[in-house]
Amino acid sequence: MITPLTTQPLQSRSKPRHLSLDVLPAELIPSILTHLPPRDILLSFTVLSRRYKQLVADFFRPDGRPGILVDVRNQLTPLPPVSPYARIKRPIRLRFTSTVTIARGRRIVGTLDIFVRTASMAWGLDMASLAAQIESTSPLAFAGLGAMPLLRSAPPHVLVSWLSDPISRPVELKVTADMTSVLCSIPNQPSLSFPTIESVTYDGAIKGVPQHLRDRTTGLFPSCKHITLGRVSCSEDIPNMVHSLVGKNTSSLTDLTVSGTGTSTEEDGLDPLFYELPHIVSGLPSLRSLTLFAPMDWIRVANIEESKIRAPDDGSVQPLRDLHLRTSGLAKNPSASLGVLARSLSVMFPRLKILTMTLDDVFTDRWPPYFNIGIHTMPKLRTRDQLSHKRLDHSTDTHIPSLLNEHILLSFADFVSTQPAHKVRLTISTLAESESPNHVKVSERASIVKKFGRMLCRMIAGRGRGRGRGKRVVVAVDR
Amino acid sequence: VDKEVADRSVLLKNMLEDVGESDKPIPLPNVTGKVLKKVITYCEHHRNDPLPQPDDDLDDTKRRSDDIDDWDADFIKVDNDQLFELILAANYMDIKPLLDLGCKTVANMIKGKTPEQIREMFNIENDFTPEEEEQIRKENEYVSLPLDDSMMLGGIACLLYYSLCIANQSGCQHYHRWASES
Repeated sequence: MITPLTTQPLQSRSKPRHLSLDVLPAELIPSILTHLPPRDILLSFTVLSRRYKQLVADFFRPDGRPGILVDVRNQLTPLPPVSPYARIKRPIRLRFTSTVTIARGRRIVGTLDIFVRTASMAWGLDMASLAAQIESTSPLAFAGLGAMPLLRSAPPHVLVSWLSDPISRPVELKVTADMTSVLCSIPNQPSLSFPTIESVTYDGAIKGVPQHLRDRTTGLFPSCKHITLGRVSCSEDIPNMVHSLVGKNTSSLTDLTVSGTGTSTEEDGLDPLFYELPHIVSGLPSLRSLTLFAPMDWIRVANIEESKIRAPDDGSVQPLRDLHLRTSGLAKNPSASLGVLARSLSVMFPRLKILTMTLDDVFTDRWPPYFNIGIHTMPKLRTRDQLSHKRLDHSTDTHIPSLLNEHILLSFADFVSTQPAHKVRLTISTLAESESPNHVKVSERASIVKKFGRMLCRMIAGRGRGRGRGKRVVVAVDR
Repeated sequence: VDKEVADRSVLLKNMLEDVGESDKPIPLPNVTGKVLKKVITYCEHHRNDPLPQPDDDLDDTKRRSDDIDDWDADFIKVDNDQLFELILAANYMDIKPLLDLGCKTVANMIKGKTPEQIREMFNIENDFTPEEEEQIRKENEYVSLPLDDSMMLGGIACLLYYSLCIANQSGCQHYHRWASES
């Protein structure tokens, strides 16, 4: 036992009536600024007093100027909240990010979007001149090209020039099989690679890995940290696809997002991708974060066969830290489905730190009739004691489940308690795609989800030091 | 206090490792009794949490201020004085999750507020001269211009638009035609 020796406050004699933010030492202010939106930093925090003006300048090192990235987009590129078909009124926009991010050693506050009509206009841009103009006409610093999706129709020498130039090389590159084909076909450069590109989105992987990528001995993007594979076929060997982009040495790769496409895997005689998660992690041993946005039948939560679940091979250098699954279809027995999912994840990723689950269609027709009961029709919840498993007899529970039903709440509470991650983030979509008279109104959905979150947190906290101790859950609304 | 609870503080953990098994009290001269009690409450609640790893800090892009769980949100509902004292104690005792919680809370209090509101809330004296304030306001005009629903920024956009036209003659005609059509 350790006895804390409490002391009298040293500053009590000279303590002012109310402490000021000024009592916090300068080294703590960046910790606050990293959680603030850039607009609040630049419009409010920096004008509080001389001290904070200087601290904000120190925050935007090395020269006190906030950085911006430039994104080149075609004019139909959707920008929230603009719909894909909205007419772009002006060719240049500055968007502030929701939080300060970091790119190329500089803190970034926003993105300058430049809209062009054709790809030739994009790769004809003089980025050096643009960078100079930005820096001479604003207090912002040009931090580089953010996204450049239009390079695929550029001639090979233009592509290489763009991707190699320190000013124009994008932080994040969106590539297609056509573009990689162009890069791989450049004569006399069989081992051409772009080691400065850190983030790659490979779109259109439904046809698998092109032969020209398989044949290469070195990866096109050997230092890539983040890869997003878009429209991946369910039959694709994902580690192999990553190796074809990065090369055999994937030690730099920490984040992988797989966005799947395709219909039922049963038709192809293949298992859902869920069973392949350990294979992916084993094949990419430096991976810390894995996100799987896949069609619902890729992760058939209700039909998981526990006999097919296996742990990753021991070759993993570090355990997977974050797993993000986008799933739906807890089927007609949420308790059993979530229980199997929790046990499976415990076998697959016993040292998982954060599990994020995005539940897509909670309020739509695809989940009838589970969550389509209005909040006012729910039976009153019982007391905390009565909510224990011993008192609640599932077999006699005849209520139609809903998000606020005891049965559903207990199922989720059990899931949080038994799954391996310390923190669970449940994101529930309230999209309005299938509102009908029998469903919960869209305007009520967010409040139902929030109430569900509060009740779930209370239920888990009430379990004290027993099962699932120390587990945290955050429920968020995805609008 | 259990050792498991005390170990949430890196400062105490290191001191205990240095001192070894001992019943001697550990002085914490920079923390008041009231604040220490609050810190112990936090550490007891989080005694089973995994200890923060060094690489947790690396990815600033994943920092969120809106994922405070309910217990933490209730715990941190204190007046400003106690909030600052908790932050200082967490910093001194090296309890990173508590420090992070305190900083997130301060950030959430600042969000959307005007400078005057923040000064009043946090007891900050405005030491700018009127000339300096005017200068800062001018410097920040590019941020404070009225934005439309897609965060359009007028001033700098126009400047860059014309700069781009000059810099890139090949694209200039397209832009002009497009802009006039719009």
